[in-house]
Amino acid sequence: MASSRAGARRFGAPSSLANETSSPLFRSLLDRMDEHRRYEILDLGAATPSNIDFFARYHCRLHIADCLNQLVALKSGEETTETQIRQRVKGMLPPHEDLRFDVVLAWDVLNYLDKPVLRALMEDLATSVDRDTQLHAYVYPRQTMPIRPSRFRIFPDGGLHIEPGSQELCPSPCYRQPELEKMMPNLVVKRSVLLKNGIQEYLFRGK
Amino acid sequence: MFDKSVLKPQGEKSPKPDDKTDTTATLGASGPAEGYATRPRGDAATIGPSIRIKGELSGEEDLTIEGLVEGSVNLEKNHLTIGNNGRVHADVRAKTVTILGELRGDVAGNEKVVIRKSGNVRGNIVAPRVSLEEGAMFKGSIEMEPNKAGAAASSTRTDTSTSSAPKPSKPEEPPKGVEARA
Repeated sequence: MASSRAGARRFGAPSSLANETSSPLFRSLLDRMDEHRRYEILDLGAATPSNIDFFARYHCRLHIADCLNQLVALKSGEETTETQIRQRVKGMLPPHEDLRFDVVLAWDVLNYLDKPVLRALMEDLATSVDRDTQLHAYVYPRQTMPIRPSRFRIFPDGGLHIEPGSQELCPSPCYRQPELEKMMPNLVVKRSVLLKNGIQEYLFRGK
Repeated sequence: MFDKSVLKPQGEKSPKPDDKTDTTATLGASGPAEGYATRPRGDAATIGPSIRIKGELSGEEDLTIEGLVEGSVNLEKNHLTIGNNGRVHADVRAKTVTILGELRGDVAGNEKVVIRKSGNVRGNIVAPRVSLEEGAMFKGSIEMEPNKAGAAASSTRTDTSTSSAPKPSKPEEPPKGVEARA
C-alpha cells in the first residue's frame, strides 16, 4: 500500500486515495503475465501516462482505442439501426481482424453503453477473442454511479486508482452476471469479486 | 507540391511574402552550405506555420514542423519536433520525436517518442521509449520493447512532469540540410 501512495504522488493523482482499489482480479491477471512472452493488450479507454509506463515492462503491443466516450455517446434509437451501430463501433476500434487480444481492459465500458452498443462492441471484438483472452471490467452493482466514466490509473506496483469522472450520480444499469454473459456471448465470467468500495470487479475469459 | 521557402533557420525573421531571396538560400536541398552557414549550431530548421509540404521529407539535422506536412518524414539521426501549430499527416521516422501538435501516421523513434500535453496523435508508435504527458491525446498502438528501453520507466516518469519541449540535441557535425521531395 505504501508503494501505491508513492505512485499516486509520482503521477500527480489526487491526494485522496479514497478511490484506490486493491483489485485482486486485476492483480491476478498481472501475476500470470510472463515478462518473456509477447502480449497484445487492448485498452478501450483513453491513453494514460501511468498505464503506458506500467505496460512498458512487458514485451507487448498496447492498443489504445480511446473510444469509450464515443461509444457512450452512441445511442440506439429510431434513427440509428443496429447495422449502423455495428458500422460505427467498428470504425471506433483499431483494425484487429488479424489480431488475437490477450488482455482487454474494459474498465468502465459495461456501465455506460447502451445494450445494442455493448452487443455490437462485443460482436466486433469476437474475432479477436479466444480461450486465452481475458477481459477485465468493473460494474456498479448499486443503484447509482458517477454520471461520467472514471479514469483508471495503474500504479507501479499493479494497484489501480479509480478517479470518478464526476461527483454527480446517475442511475446505474446494475447488470448482473447472467445479463452480462448474455450480452457478451463469446466471453464467460472467470471470477467476480465485490470490492470494499462497492464496485464489482469482473474477469472474463474467451470461450 | 511544396513551397521552397519552407525551410528557414529558427529565430530568423520571417520573410516578407514577396521576398523569395532569403528563404530559398536556406533550402537544404538546393544549397545547404550557404544557407546554413549563418545558423548557430544546434538550432533546428523550422517549417513555418503557413507552409504546406506534400512529399518525402528527409535530412540530417534537427527539424521543427509548425506547418502542414503530408507524405513521409525521415530524419534517421536527428530530432523531429512537431510544434503546437504543426500538422503532420505522414509516416515519421527520426532519432527522437517530440509531438506538441497533430500527427496522423505511424511513428518510428530510434531512441524515443514524446507526446506532450497539447499533442494529438493517431497512429502506431514503435520506439524503445514512449512518454505521454497527462492531457495528451493518443489513439493507436505502442510497441513495447522493455529490453531495448532499459531504464525507460524512470525516464518517462521524469518526462511526464516536464512541460517544456526538449532542446534539440546538438549535432556533432555542422548541419547538412533538409531535403524535401515532391
